[in-house]
Amino acid sequence: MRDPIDDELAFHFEQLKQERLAAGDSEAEALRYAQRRLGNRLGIEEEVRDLGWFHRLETVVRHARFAWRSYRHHAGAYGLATAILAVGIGLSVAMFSLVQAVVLSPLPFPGQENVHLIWKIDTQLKQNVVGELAYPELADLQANPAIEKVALIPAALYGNGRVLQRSGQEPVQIEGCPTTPDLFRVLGVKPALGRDFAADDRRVVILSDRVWRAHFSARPSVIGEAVNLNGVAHTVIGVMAAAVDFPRGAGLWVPINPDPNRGLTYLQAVARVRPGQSPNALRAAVDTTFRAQIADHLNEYSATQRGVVTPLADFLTGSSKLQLLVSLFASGLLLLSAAVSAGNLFLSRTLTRRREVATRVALGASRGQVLAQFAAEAGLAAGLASVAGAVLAYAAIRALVHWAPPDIPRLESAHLDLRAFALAVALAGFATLGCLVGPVLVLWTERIDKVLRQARGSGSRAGRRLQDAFVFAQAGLSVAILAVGLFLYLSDQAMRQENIGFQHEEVLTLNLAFRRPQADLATRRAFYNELLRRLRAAPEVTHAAAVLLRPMEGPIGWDTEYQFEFEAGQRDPNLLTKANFEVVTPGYFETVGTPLLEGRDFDERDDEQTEKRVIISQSLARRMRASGHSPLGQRMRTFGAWRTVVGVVADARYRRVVEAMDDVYVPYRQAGAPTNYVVLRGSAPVDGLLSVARRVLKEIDSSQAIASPATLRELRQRQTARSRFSLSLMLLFAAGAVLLAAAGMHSVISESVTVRAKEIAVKSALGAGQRRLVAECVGRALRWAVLGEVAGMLLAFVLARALAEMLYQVSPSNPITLGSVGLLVLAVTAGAALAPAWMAVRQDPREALQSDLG
Amino acid sequence: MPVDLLPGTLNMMILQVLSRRKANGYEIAKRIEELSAEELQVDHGSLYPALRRLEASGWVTADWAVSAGNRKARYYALTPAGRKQVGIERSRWDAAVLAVSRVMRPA
Repeated sequence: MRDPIDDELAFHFEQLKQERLAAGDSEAEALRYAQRRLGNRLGIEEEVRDLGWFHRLETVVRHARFAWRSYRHHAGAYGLATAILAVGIGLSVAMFSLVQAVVLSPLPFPGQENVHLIWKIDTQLKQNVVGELAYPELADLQANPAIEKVALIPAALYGNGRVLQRSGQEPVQIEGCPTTPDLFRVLGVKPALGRDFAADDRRVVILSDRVWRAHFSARPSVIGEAVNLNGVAHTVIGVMAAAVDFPRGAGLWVPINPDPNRGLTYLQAVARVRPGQSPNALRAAVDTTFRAQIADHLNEYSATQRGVVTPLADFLTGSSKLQLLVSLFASGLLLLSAAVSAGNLFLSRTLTRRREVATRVALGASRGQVLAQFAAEAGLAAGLASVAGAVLAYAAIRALVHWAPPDIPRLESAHLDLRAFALAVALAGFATLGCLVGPVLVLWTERIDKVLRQARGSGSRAGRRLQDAFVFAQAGLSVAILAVGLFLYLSDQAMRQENIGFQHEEVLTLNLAFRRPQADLATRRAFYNELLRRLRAAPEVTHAAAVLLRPMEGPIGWDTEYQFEFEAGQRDPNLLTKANFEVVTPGYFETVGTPLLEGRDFDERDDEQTEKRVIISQSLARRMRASGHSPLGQRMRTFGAWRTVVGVVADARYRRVVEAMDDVYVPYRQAGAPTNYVVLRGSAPVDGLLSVARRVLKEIDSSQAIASPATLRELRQRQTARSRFSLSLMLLFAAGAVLLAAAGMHSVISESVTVRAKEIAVKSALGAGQRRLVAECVGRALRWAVLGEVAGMLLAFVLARALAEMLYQVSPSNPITLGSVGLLVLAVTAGAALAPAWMAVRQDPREALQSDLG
Repeated sequence: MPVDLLPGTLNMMILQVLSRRKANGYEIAKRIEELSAEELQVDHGSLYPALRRLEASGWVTADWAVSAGNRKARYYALTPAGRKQVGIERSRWDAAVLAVSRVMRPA
């Protein structure tokens, strides 16, 4: 719609002319009069159009369009603010989506808050070792009135694989979970097909949806069919619902072998408890059961055993919850820093636009209108940022899910949903508010006429105070994030450089558990003997051996209690009570590269007939020496037999890279436990070794299957993958935060030297030294930055203490770490501050004095 | 001797003029000059931006009508909000005049 101003002015002009003509003036005189009174018609038209242009439109649209113009006019600063906000919003939304997928979204188990995992600890032990349960304890727990339903499953799945054989196809090993009948009723789920376990089921199997699809082409008719597991026929009675992945990775569930031996502890309990019990009440209730065991079964249980009760959700997400929350927190800090940065840019713009503001106020705009315009500009920046942020978040989620270690449960279900998008919009709103702090403060705390005057003077006081706060906050936040990132980095380095006791990390390890019904010890030993003999004979293989549980397979392993003869029934205070137990074949230590320090390795002489022997780790040997006993030749009781120490090997990490334990090794022909894992070293690459292993296995027993081949290096990397993931995220956030701090500082100083250009020029013309001038320009901001850094170090210290669980051999109070972070951030911010100040000071004072900017 | 308008008073006087009856731009300028007994010199050009702002504030509306000289002209009229605003401006002005004249009273 056109403004009718030209018609109006034409009419007005005509009236003025007529007025003079009527008074008797000549045509020329009347024309001159009208021109003089009305003034520059084109100028008026333009002025009115400019006003009308946005007055006519709806207020919001008008502000938006003006904002857009203004935004484009100040594209440098506002574009930067938008980009900064987009990064902050994008990363926060991405992290929120991951946390939502892993931690917040409910599990597929109804009433999950009443489902808990139960195991034991022994309060008297020096080590924090998880105590497992044995089958007979099921009845003990069922008798507990606090528990509605309970089931027992193995504490770890490895070693419970089942070889699935189908005619005409290669056998495959599938992770299996033996369980007591009530597992799914405890979880509150039902099979999608078929039926649940019944009390007297034997040789039946429930398949996971995954296995059903992969190996049975999702045939519904599979129910009632017989399948061959470990050479034994099992009837398929059900297919579990797709969402059920418990315990994580289980591909099938079978009834557990009811072994009455209370000493055979390898299980954990999953219990559905009566609703409404506090965690403490629940633990106390469970403890009554475990206390009763001490009295009911003399000498079976430690008098100091206690229950550990973990909610199902915590159990499933475990430490990944902490890691994700830390990353979420860090991304929140980054967003805060981004909002501070954007707010700072807006404040700088407001300060440099004071004259525009003052002029508009003088022309009749109210403060509200001016503020509305700033709000529209900030809203525009934040709106663009939320859209860009959502796009960025989408990409970041995809990248993070792809990049994240596979052991974070449910991470792959992360996606950008409505809630996450709503969060992005909310964050944009928050960012808008952040951006408005500056303009509001300037407009509300200062009288407009003062602002107008100040447009010619130096910066405004309120604005300056706010900028001090921004500089302080940003320096603090970036130091905190960077310090936490550095802690994680040092922790990762420590893990990486930790000597975990295996010199040959290229060794290939295979899960090759011998599965055959009613196989006796002799058959099994003969199988491994033959397997290793043929492997060693292969030209590609230089070393081959077998072991009970390969290194770094998981945090649960075989624990053994032990006692030395010299202790004579009394516990020696230097010794721990539990050690990691391994069964090995001769040549194992040489294969994986664990150095033999004293004595000898096992050989074929250590067979079933001779006295039982044992090799111990260096840490245990050291403890014995501390008690005044030379290790070799000592007799120790472990795994139900007295054994003589024949060797000492270097320490090695079997459970976790970060967990040092004493190790006890026994020869495979003197132990009941199997050697489920084969280790291979050779001249061929890993793939070559693997195909040799497959070929040899097929030659001796085509019904066996190899599962999860991995080199020791891969196993180690799998364990450190999570910490590296957190580390990468944190360093990404830290880089962002430091950049933001630098950008913030740069804009503060640029703005202040622009405002003070004339003052600087005068001083410079009067002969002030350049150094002194630079110091004057940056001194105040740098002081605040240093104060912020000190606060940031304190924050980092507090954060790192909260993160102790994630940090390995890193002290959060290490002054060198904190100091170096502080120095780095200081150097970056100082650089960002000095550059514009130096440039301003070196400018020719004449130029500055002539310009109208001052 | 004609005097220049005091800054900020133009809006107020436009509203006051329109509170009697609706008028076109030329009439408004003329009325102000007449009412001030030709003491005030209105810059006719500055009238229109001011009118647009009053329009935007919702205090006046405008419509085309036929003028006394039988020509089409745009006539401005007060809205109810504008009528209220006249009262506000008037009392504010009275207070300001009183205050300033107290200060300027000859010693």
